[in-house]
Amino acid sequence: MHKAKVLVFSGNGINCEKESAQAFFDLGAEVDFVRLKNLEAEPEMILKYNILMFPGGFSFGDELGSGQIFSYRLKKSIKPHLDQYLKNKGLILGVCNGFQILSKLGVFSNELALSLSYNKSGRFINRWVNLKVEKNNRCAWLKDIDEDIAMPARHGEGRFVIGGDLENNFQKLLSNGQIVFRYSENINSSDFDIAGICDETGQILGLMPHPEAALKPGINPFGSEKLCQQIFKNAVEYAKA
Amino acid sequence: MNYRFEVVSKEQYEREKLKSSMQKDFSKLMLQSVLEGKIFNIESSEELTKQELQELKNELLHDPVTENIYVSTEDSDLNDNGYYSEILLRPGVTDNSGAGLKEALQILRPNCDFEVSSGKLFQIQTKEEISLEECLDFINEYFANPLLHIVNAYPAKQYLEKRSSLYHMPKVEKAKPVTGFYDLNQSDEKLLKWSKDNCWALDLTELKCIQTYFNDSKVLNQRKEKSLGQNLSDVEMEILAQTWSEHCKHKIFSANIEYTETDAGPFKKLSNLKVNGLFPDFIRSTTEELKKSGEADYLVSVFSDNAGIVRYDEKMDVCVKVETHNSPSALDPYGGALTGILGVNRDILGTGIGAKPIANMDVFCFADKSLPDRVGLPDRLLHPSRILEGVHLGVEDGGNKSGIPTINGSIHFDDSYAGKPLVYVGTIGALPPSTEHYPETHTKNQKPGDYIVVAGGRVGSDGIHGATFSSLALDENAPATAVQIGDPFTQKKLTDFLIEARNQGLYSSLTDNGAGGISSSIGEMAELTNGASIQLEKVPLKYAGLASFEIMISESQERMSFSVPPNKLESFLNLAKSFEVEACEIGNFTDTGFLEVSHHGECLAYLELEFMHNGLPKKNLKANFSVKENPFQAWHGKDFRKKLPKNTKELFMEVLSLPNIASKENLVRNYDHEVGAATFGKPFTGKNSDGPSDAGVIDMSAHGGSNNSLLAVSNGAQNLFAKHDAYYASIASVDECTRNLVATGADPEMLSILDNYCWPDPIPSNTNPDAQHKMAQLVRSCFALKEIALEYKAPLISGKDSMKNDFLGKHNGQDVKISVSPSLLVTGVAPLKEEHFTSTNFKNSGDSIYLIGEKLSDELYTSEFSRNFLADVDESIFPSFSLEENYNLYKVIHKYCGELKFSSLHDISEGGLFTALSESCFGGKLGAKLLISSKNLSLLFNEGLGRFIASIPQEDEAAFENSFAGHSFTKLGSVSEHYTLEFSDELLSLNELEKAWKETVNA
Repeated sequence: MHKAKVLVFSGNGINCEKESAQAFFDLGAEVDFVRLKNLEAEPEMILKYNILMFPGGFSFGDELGSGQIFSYRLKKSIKPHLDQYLKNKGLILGVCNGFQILSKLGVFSNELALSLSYNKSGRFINRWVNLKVEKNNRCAWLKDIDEDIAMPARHGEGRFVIGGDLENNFQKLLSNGQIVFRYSENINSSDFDIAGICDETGQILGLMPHPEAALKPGINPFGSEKLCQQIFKNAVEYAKA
Repeated sequence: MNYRFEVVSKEQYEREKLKSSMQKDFSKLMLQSVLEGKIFNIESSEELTKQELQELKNELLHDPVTENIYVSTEDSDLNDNGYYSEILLRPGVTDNSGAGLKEALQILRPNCDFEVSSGKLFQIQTKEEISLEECLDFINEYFANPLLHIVNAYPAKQYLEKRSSLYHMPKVEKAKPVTGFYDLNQSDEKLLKWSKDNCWALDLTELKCIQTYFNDSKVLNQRKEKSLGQNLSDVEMEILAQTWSEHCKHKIFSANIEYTETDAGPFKKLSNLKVNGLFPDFIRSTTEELKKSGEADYLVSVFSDNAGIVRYDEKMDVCVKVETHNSPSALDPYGGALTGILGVNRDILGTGIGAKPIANMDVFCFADKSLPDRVGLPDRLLHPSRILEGVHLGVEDGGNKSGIPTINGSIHFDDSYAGKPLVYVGTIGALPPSTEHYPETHTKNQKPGDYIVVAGGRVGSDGIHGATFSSLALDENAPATAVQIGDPFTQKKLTDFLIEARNQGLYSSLTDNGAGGISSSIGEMAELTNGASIQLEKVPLKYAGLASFEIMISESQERMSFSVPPNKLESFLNLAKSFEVEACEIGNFTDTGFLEVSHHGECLAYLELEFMHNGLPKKNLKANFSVKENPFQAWHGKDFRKKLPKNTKELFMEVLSLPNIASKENLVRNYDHEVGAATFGKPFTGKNSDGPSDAGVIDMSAHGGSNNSLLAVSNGAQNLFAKHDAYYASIASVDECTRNLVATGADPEMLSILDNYCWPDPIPSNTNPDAQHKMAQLVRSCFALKEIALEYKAPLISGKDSMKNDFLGKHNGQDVKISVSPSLLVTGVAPLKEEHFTSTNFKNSGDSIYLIGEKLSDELYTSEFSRNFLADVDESIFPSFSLEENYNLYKVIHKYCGELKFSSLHDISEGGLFTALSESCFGGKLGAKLLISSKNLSLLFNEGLGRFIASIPQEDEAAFENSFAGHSFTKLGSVSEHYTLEFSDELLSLNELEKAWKETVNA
C-alpha cells in the first residue's frame, strides 16, 4: 500500500504547520513543507500530492484582510491546476487562516459568495468550542463522524458570512451537503452558527477551529482527541484507497 | 498616476467592546455609531488598466461579500450624516498594510514602481450635534496618536465633496545629512548641553572620561592613521552613548553603593553595607554559590548571552528571557508593547546559536481606569484604559501573528503606574543541546574574516535614541523617533529563515538587533573576535537621507545580525531569498581590537573595543533607609479606601471585583495560548475553562524534548508591599512565583528564576530628592532576592533592569512627579512530569478542603484587602515567615503530587484564602461547605507566604495529615455539589460572586 503524500504549506506567516504536519505524519503519511515561493516556481507540483493542507496562522500578517494576499498569489499560480487536482481525487484541508485563504480563493462554491469576516466582538478569541457535525454532509474528511467534537477556536476573523439572500443560500448549502460543522455556542456570530464547510465535491474541508491542536490527551482537556484524529485518518485512508 | 480608495464595511456593525468603553468615557458624544473603514493611497509609475484596477479592487483591497469599495475620484453612496475622519500615517511610520499591498502590486503589475500608504477612515454619527473640535478630540483620544498620525475630520457633506482631492502620500524628506564633529575640550556646561540636546544621556563624569581618553596622544596617533582627528564624529559619540547607556550597560546595578540604615523601623535590619555592585554581589554571586555547592547542575549558560539557558531534559535546552518596554509603551502603548514582545522573541532567537521561541508571557502594571474620574489625569498622559487596550493589543498581535502562544501573565493596578506603565514581556525558547553543525549550541563560533550580515527589515529613522531615551525620565522632550510600530509578519519570516539557516549550519554566530541598533549588536559581537569593520553604505534603507549615525543606531525592528563564514555567504543569502527575507552583508568581523565604521569610503568611527566596553567609569552611589521618609505615598495625596460594607455578601462581591483580584479572562482569551499544540496547562481550567491557573505549562515533547517532559512557567510580583519595604516585597514575589510552580506540580528542587527590576530613579538630582531612599529599597530588594534564592536553591539565570520609571509633568497646573512603586517581577521555570500536574479547580463534591500553611487568623496584615478598605491595619507589620519551612513544605507538596495526588491545589496570594477558595469553586462549578466563619476577616483576607488551598478525596484525609505532619495545615471543610459558599454562619450564592469577579476588568 502506498503512503499518502501530504503537502503542508509553510512560511509567509503561517504558523500551525508543525502540528498540522505531525497530525498526518503520526498516521504514516509522507509530509512535505512547501513555501509559496517554491510553489510559484513549480505550481504543477500539487498534482504529486493526495492531500494539500493550508494550516492556520497569519499569512502576510492578515494585512488587507485575512488570507487575502495568500489567496491572490494562489490565484496567480496554482488555480489553473486545482481542477485537475480535484479530478484526481485530491483532498484539501484549510484550518483557520487556511480556511480564510480557501474561501477567498472561491473554492467552496461557484455560485455563492461566502466569506469570513471579523468576529462580532471585534477581537481575537481563543476558546474551546463544541462543534455539532451536520448530518448528511458530503465531506470525505468526516466519514463515520457524527458525534459532537470539541476543539480550540483561535481567531479574530472567523465569522462565516453568506452573501446575498441569506436564508435561501443557507438552504442551498445545507441541501447540497456542504455544511459540515456548526458551533454549539456561536462565539463569533457566524451566519447559522457555521464553523466549517466543504466544497461541492466533498473533497475540500475548511473550518475555523483547530483539530490539529486537539490530538493529544494532555493538551485536550475535553476528551475529543480520538474524534479529531479520525478526521485526519479519514483523509489518509481516502488517499490510500 | 495617483489613486485613493475607501473601503467601508457593508454592515453597520460596531465593535461592541469599543462602543461600550466609549460610551462610558465619552458620554457627552452620545455616539450612535462609529463605522471603521480603510483608506489606501497608491502612486504608480504607470497607469493601471481598467482590468488591473478591477483586479486590484476585488482581489486585493476589499472583500466583496462584506465590504464596499470606492475610488475617491468617482461618486459613492457613502452616507452624508455626521463626520468623517481620516487617520493617516506620518512620514516614516511603519505601514504594515501598505507594505503588504505594495508587495502584492508587484504581482499585479510587474516592472511598475508603486508607493503605497494606508490609513483609517471613521464615520461618526452622534445623537446630538457635536462640533468639529469635539469630533477631533474623540478621534485623538481613542484612535490616533499625534506622534504617529495625522488626523483630519470633516463634516460628512464636506467630506463627500472633497474626497476626490484627499490623496495623501507621506514621504520622508530629509536634508542632505552632514556628519558632525565634536571637540570635547569644552566647558562642563557646554558638554552637558550637548548631551541633553543630542539625547546622549551621558553625565559629566562620563563625558570627561571620553574627553580624557581622546586627548591621549596614543589614541590621537591611532586616529591619524584613519584620517580622524581629535574631534569625535557624531557616529562615535552616538556609539559610545548607546553602549554606555543605562539601558545597555546597567550602570546602577554595577555601581558601588554605600548603604546605611537610619531607622529600619519594624522592617528587616540589614545594618550598614558596602556593595560593590548589586549585580555581582547579589545576583551573579547567588548563582555562583549555588553552582559551587553542587545545586543547580542544570545550568548551561547564565548571564553571558541574550537569555539564560538551562537543561532539564537531555534532548532539549530551555532559554528564558524577560524584558521591559516601559518608556515606548508610555508614548505609544500598542507600538511599544508590540516592539517589546517582538524584541524579546529576538533575544531568544539570538541566544546560543539560535533558539526557537515557543511561549510568551506578559505582566503589566497600570493605573486602573477609574483614575481620571477620581483625580484627573496629569497633562499629556494617556487614559489608563487606552494604555491597557493598546499594550494588550500589542502583545496580542506580537504573539498571535508570530505563532507563539502566550501562556502566562498577570495585570496589576496601582495609581503609581499612571506616569509610566510597566510592560514586562518574556519568552521561552527551545534549543537542542547540539545539532549536526553545532556540537555545542550554547556557544558562538565567530571567526575573524566572517561576514557581518544583517537580515530582516530595512533601516529608517524610527527608533533612534530608544536606548538613551529610556535611560531618562519621561518628559515633554521625548523624541518622536523613539516611537515605532513592529512588524510581526517580517519577523515571522525572519524566524522561519533563521531556524532553517541554523539547521543547515550557515552561520557561525548571531545576535538580535535591539536597543542601540547595529551599534550595540555589532559592538557586542565584535568582542567575540576582537574587532569589526562596517561599511554603512551597504545597509539597506527605507528611504534616502539618513545621517551616518542614524544608520548606525537606528532601532528599526525585525533585524538580526549574523556572522557568516565566507564559504557560506552565498548559500545564506540564497536561502534568505527563498524565505522572502532581505539579507545584506555590511562588513566583516576582524581581530584588530577596533570597531571601524566607514561610509562611502570615509572612516567615521574608529573606537577601541576595550574602551567602548570597559572604559566606563563605575558610579559611586549612596543609599539610606529610614522609615520616616517614605516617598511612595500616593502622588495625588488622596486616600480612596472604602468603608467596610456591613453586609458580608456585599463585601465579598466588592473584594472579588477589585481590579487586582477580578478575573482577567476576557483579556487573556484574546491571546492565542495554544498555537503549536503544546500548551499542556492553559491559563484557565475547569469545567467551563474559567478558573485561573497558577502557572502555564508547556509540553516540551512537542518541541523536540523527551516524552513526558513538561515545563511550568509562572511569575510573582508582590510590589505594593515595596512601598513600605522592598525587602519583604522581594521575598513575597519569589515565594509567590515558587508557590505557583509548586501548586502546578513542578519540582521545587529544579527551579530557575529571573529578576526584572523596574525602579524609580535612584540617582539624586534636583527633581529627585528621595533618591537615597529609592536606592536603599533597591539594595534591600536585591539582598532579599539573594537570601531567598539561596534558601530555595533557585539560581538566577537572567534578568534586566529599567531604572528610570518616573514621570515629570503638570497636574491641575501644578508640577507633579509620579514614580512607580518599586517593582520586581520574578519569573520562574521548573520541569514537571505529567503525573504530577495539578490544577486549581475543585473536581469532586465530597472532597476535603484544606488550608496548607499558616492560618494567620489572629491579626489583619497589610494586603490587597487593607489597601482597599478602611480596616484597622498597621501597614508596616507583615506576617512572619520561615523560608526554610516554606521550602521544606514545597518539597513535601511535590512528593504528595507524585504519590497520593491532590484533587486540586491553588496558591493563596492577592485577596487571601477567600479569593483562592472562590476561584477553586468558580473553576470547578462546585461549592464549599466550610467550618469557618464568614466574619473572620484576618483568616479570609491575609496574604502570608507559603500557603495553598488544597482539595483531596475524603478517604485520603489520614494519609494527607500523615504526609504533612510537622507542617501547618487546617481542614476548612468539603467540596459541595451546591454552587454556594456555606460558611458556619452564612450561606452565599457563588453565581453572584462569580458575576462580580467576572464583570469588572473590561479592556
